Amino acid sequence: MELRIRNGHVIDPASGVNEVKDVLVRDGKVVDEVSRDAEEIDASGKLVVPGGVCPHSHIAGPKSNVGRLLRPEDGRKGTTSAGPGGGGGNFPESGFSLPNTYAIGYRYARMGYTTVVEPSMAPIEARHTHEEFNDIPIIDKAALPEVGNNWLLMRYLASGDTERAAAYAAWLIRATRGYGLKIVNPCGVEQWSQSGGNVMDLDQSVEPFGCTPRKIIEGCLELNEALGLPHSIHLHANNLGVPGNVETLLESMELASGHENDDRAVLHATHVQFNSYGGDSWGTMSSEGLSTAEFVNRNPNVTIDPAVVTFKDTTTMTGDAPFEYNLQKMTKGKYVGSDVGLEGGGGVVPFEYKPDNPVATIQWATGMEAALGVEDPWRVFLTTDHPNAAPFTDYPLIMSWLASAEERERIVSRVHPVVNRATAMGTIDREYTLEELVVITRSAPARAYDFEGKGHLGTGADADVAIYDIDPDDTDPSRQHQELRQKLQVANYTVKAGEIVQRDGEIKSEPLGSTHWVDATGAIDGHVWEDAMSDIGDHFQNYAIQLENYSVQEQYLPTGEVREVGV
Amino acid sequence: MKTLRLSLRDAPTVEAELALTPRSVVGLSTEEVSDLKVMHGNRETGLVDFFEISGETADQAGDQRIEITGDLAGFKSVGRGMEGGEIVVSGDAGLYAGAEMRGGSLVVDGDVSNWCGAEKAGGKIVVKGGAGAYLGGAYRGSRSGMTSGSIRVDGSVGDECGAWMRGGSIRVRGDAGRMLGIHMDGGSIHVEGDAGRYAGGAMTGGRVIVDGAVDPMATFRRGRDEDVEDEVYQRFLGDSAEGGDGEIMTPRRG
Ligand SMILES: [Zn+2]
Repeated sequence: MELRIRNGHVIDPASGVNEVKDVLVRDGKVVDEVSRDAEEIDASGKLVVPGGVCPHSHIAGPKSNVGRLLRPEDGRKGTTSAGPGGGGGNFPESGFSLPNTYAIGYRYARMGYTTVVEPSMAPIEARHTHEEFNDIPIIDKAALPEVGNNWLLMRYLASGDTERAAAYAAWLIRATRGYGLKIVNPCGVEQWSQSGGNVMDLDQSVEPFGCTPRKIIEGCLELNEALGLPHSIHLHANNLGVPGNVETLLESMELASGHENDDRAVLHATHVQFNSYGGDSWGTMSSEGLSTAEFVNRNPNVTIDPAVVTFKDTTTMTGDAPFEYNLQKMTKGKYVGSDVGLEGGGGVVPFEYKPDNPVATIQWATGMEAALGVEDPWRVFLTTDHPNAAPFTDYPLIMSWLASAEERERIVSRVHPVVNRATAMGTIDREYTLEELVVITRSAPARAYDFEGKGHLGTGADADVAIYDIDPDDTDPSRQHQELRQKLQVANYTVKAGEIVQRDGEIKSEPLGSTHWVDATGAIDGHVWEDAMSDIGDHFQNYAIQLENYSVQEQYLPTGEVREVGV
Repeated sequence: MKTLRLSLRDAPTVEAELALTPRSVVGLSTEEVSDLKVMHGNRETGLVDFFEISGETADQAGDQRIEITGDLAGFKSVGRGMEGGEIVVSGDAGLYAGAEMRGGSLVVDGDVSNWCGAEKAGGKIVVKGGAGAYLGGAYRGSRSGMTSGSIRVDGSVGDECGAWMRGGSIRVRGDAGRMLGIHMDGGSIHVEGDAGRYAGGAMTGGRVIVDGAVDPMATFRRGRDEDVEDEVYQRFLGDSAEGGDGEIMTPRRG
């Protein structure tokens, strides 16, 4: 099948393109030529960009389902029927912060997004995560297994055995059909699982492993590069959600110095809004979003995503079990907590960010400051840590805020007055350009994951394209922020692998999309591999599941695409 | 007031969704009314597939009366979300009768099923038979049941009547099931018969009056007696387990 997207204003920062031109598509790829019979989309006066790439969004796995079970009231929001007159898709949609699987695919597609990474997969629950992936239409997917509280890895890294740790990590990524390494509150979840509590700094040891957060982060930095994984380590730092935690975040990011990669950063600090607070109590809490941003400005081997709060009634869900346990004590509402034996834990707590609440106001400012403070848009990616700070459907709203100082001023005047005392929002006049918005929503996250075909429209790229009713030559995002938001919310067209999947809000076609995973076992020397496999065999005597039943079989990835590294 | 008449000809074989309110018919011709969509299980059908239709439609919802004859137990959502006008059902009605109602009146001659008047924010419901569970209550996961308007049930009601109720009034001539007024925070419920176990459980406000037997839990403290409709009532305050300030009233006997 061929497609000519004619005469659109193409913004493709990765290829250095910002001009009116055609985009040509054949057999799911961007090509240099198509025949005269190619189907045509007239994109005159419209913005043509690569499909969006969401680097961090909790869309699949047990915790999504637990959230849905916990919050029927959320499921009743946003319901549409299937087919024409409804959402256009084959299935009805439901949910706001916890959309059903179909709605996840449809809503990302409506916004012009075509690739999403689930950043938090408990390894033992990987099969469930992939089964849910197979129920989410349209978008490409990938998942990061969690390793920050994994018993075997803690043992290896405590003793400094990075070689075997790398072998185990490669095995684990392959076993879970994962894409890279996620570290969630290293050692803290294990500490909570054992006796409650948490770890408070990078050098607090969790027993009997004798392991510390520092050893885990340093060890993973080293093995991640030794394996040559396409993505950097992906860090949810310690002390999340606590006033004064910016020190822990900065100290953690500092560990990246000394590690190099020519193509990407070596450490991605995720949802930094939740980790960039000053003060030492809720009363003295302040935003340190700019401190985090300034650190990134000085350290090119680190990237961040902000997790911007949009003042909604949403749902928090994270592998950071102690955080959720403490949050639930504040909300006194619904809560599910879990201990994932030998590997970590998690929790789900509904949470409403209210604009008249001082903490929520500071949180809003913290995320915005982090996003606005990073000078190089290639090192900050748009997120809400869906659904933790907001549902992903609020991306267009946040993009309009980033583009308009005027609109931010209006919000500053409406939120809790603490915004003037404890944040820098009143002092920031930076406005993102359209091209920068394209970078933080497409080009940069695609590069961070080294998704070769994503985030650009050069020859050979995947034909994932979004077309918006925005004329860059005739749009002032700063003044027309409201219009910008509406138009980014519903793309005129979304093209996925060369197929029109969405038009003006109506789902037209729903291919499954690929699941990308990484096999780095080729990077391991034979004898190290044998030693590690022997350890894994012993380690599995602790599991309630047989080793043979642990690995996700390939039939669970009917559209799997493996990326082999180290061969 | 203009009256539209629906007479049930063929009962649904599985539950059907009757999305019919006075507002949905205003200004329509009888033919257009016949075409109104009814989801019958997974099939999209029309009103005319079940009913003989006659009468007239009004220009605004407030002037519209809909009389439905027949047993509507197989129809969900009778009068759900109605904002004005009247619906009269000579027979039973299924799930969600008058739920989310904001105005007008719904009268059901027979029984209603669960979630009648759930989360309603106005209007009046009269049920001459009995009602199922969650009368005037909150949907699962929601923290707000009915907030205003009234419900009267001449028969008995099921469990969790008035759950999470925030305002308005419920009057039950018969008995109430378990957990009457659970999580209630405002409004009043008056049960003329007996109430089942855990009446007022977790209530934080509002008033539950039970003329028959009721057994307030140990988490309710005794308050001062009070006259209600010329009779001396005992007053219990709670639920202290929730730091609550609700009231359970029951006649002082002997
Ligand atoms: Zn997250």
